[in-house]
Amino acid sequence: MPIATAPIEILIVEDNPADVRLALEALGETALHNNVHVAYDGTEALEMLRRTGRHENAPPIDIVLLDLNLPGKRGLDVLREIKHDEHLKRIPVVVLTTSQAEQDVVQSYQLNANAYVTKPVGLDDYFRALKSIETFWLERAKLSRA
Amino acid sequence: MSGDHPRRRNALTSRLFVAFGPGPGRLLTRILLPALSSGLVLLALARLEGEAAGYYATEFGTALLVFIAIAGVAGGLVWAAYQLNRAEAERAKSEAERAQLATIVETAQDAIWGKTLDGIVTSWNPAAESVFGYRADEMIGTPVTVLFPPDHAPEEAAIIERVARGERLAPFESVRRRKDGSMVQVSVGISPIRGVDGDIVGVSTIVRDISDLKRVEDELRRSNAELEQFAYVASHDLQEPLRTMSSYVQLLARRYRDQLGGDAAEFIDYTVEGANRMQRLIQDLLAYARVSAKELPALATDADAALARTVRDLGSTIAAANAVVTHDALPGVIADAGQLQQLFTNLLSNAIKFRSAETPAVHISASVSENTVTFVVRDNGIGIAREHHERVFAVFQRLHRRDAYPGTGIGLAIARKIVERHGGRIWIESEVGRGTTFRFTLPAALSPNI
Repeated sequence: MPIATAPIEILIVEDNPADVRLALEALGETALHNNVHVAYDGTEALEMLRRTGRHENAPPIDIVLLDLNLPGKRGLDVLREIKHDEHLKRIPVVVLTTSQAEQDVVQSYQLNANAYVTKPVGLDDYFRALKSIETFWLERAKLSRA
Repeated sequence: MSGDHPRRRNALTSRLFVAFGPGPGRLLTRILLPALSSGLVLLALARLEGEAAGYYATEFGTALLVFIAIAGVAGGLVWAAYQLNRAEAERAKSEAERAQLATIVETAQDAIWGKTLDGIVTSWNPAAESVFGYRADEMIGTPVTVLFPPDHAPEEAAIIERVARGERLAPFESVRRRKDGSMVQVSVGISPIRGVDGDIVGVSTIVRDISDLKRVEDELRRSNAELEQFAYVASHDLQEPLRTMSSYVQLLARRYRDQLGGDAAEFIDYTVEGANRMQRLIQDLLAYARVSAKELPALATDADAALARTVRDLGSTIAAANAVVTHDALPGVIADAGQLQQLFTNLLSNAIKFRSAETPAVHISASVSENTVTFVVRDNGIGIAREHHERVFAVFQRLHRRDAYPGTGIGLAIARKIVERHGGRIWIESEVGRGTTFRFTLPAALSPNI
């Protein structure tokens, strides 16, 4: 299947339904052909990425949008597991979070996050931020697909 | 019986050794005794020669000999007495010095003890008794290792080894055990004790109980950690609901504007503005809290460089206001470079924000007196009424309408917190319409130009 026509599989890891919906709204406004998947906690996210358990038939994920503030397994732990997993570490992980704390930014990059984006407060800014993530990672950057 | 003889002779020999050995007695045995003996021999020779040459009658010669001999012995005794008294005076003086040193050791707040190079305690002062609970008579003659908790036991051998090489150990922190088994946090300083001939004959140990200091440090560390935790919570958890609220109200407006009534847009704007403002307040409160969370290095900082960075970072603000920022050469101060820059930033942006109709002009100067630098930041802005001179430094206090001068009112509160944290103070000289002068003090760096 040629890459150009394959849909792009986006995984949003986010426990706040309001934020999930907002991200879906933002991504829905783009012309790109994409499928958005949602994991509401870190364990579910890793299952979907590894295609184990209930998610055996999930498609391979192309990019992860990861919130840091998750119930149970913390966002940074999810990031660490992805980047230490031989099969998953090639997948770009964009940390998308409310936190502006310097320690979160530093730790995320130390754990090999591909980008750290603070969720803007204004709706227009938020939409623009998500679109720029999408434009860069899904249009400009060439992804390595498994 | 046969064993007695050598012992007696040994006793005699050893007494002779003492008599001829070091000490004031040596004056008699080594100097006075030979002087007197050779003097007598010379006198006898002189007498025989004088008699043979017929200078005097035998009777007169005998009288002269006896007289001179007595005078010689008397002179020698006076000289010996002088020497003995002088030695005694010196001994008394050093005894007094010893007593004085002993008093200092006895009354010292720090535990002080001496020990041999084998680690056996030889002296133990009262402070040591109260810190460790061992009395002097219990400790003297006891190995010092009774004070070491098991995990610190290897320290002693290392200490002795270094001291035996003549090293002094700079105070280090460690843990020792009291008689009742409880642990005490200590700062330990160790020096070799040298005998009169310079050989190392023992070890002196000075120990300070730093338990209280440690407890205060721990409390400070804990409260800083709590503050960091609070700051983290504030930066994430408090802002997230705000963002959600603001986003959805905006989404509502975007999608249903046409179906909502005439006032809806205004209400939505107020909601969004309220959320934005709340977020700024949270961020400002965080910035305020972080001023004291940062540990202060006791480092000299170049105030000139800090100001230069400030002016560079405020470049667009300065340009937009057509402001003129000038300064004299600024001295070095003991301050955190980042916080000093933040202080300049807050004062400069304040001066530019509250400008009058004139072209804004800000001048920064400083003067040093004794160990304090007083900085002066003078502007030609709108000024501050006297009754508000204190209030402007309080958190979130504002003097003007939001539409005239936006902001949360945190800038000067942060400025004051930075100055006071560095042990200085900040105050205002100003009247409405006559510009404002901020003065603040900071500790001067030792060398005036760093």
